[in-house]
Amino acid sequence: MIKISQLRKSYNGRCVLNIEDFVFEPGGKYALIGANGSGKSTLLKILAGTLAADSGSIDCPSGLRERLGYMPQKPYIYDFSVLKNILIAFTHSQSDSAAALRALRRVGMEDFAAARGSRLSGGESQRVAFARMLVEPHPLLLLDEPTSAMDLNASDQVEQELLDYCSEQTTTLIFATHSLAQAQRVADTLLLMDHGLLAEYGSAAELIHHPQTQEARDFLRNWKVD
Amino acid sequence: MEVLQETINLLFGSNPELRQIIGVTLQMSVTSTLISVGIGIPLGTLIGMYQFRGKGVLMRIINTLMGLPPVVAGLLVFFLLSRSGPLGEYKLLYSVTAMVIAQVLLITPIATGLTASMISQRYPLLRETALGIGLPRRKQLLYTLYECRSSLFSVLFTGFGRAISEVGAAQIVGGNVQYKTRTMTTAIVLETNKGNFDMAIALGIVLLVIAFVIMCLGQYLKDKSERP
Repeated sequence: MIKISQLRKSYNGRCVLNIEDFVFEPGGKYALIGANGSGKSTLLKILAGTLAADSGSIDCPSGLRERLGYMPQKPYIYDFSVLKNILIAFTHSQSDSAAALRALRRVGMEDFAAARGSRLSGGESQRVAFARMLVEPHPLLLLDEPTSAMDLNASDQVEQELLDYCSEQTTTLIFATHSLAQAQRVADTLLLMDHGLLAEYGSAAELIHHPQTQEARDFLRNWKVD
Repeated sequence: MEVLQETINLLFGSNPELRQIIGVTLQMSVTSTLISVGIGIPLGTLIGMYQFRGKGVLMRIINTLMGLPPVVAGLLVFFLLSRSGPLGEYKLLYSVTAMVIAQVLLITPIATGLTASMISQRYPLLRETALGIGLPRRKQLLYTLYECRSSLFSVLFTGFGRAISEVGAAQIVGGNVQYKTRTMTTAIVLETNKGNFDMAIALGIVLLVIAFVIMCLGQYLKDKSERP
């Protein structure tokens, strides 16, 4: 269980995150949705430990922080081979080329194993970065718009692998997305962020079809979701 | 025409004094560049990677020192090494060592400032990814330097360019002593003062040729490091 309380973050006096309380249950799959600048990435960065909150607390089981996996919005692929980019992610277990190649196969990138990381397109980089997440068992996975640069086929493949991984590892998943359809397919709880606040949360059916707050209704006005 | 003839004679002739001058120039430039980047790159990397109180002030001081006038650096080292100075007992004034010390004073802030600025730009993105996959700090540092290797070569070239072309500090602390501390640049100044312009221009061309050859070698190594 990860419990966040009174979490606040400001940049130059502008509040970008202000969450009173929320509990992420173990094994749950949570999608952060909301407009640009609503605080989704900031929340993920604070949870990942790459950004410090101004105040508030995050209570989580000991050792979770050391073993979480985090994929930023613009994942960096190092300028060595794609295979080596995967091998460096074995931080808790012995590097294993066969396992690295299997991870690449899971995202359709096995043919790129020898290619240089710096030569990949945005979508390919995201797939490699995602494969890097798959080689270690992470109790918590934080993904910031993991498929934003991918084509539909690659995005579907990654979504499927993500669901498989989470059920295999009983991983808690928190991801940001601009695709409500993706949020519906992958997550069991949606959190709507608005101007740094957690405006509303609930299952996809509740939040999308029966929004309770004005912020949620405003956000969903332009979306057509089945 | 005379300049051309003079240049060819200098380049392909067997002038022992010129060979000695080139030797001193290279010894001074290469040594001071290596010492400066040896200090400046690690220091700049640490400054670029970490946030700490006073970082802004420190960067402003380094940026100011990047524009330190060579004669001021020369004067400072001159006072340090002169007989009545704090390091006078080592009798280093008018030696190649004194010239290297002055150049290290000039080039280290350049290497530090350029490295810090380049690492500051790239490290946030690299850090996010590195923390996301749980890379230990040592590997984060290693991979950051690897990713910045091309820019680090540029730091090396900039430092060497400054060292080989510098004249003010070398003149003050080296004294332009024949067969001892005379470098290409101080020799050019001497020949110009003597009114021997053909020789001065010819020496200038030789200096450019040497710099070009060394930069080509550096560029080759840089390109090689970027190949898989």
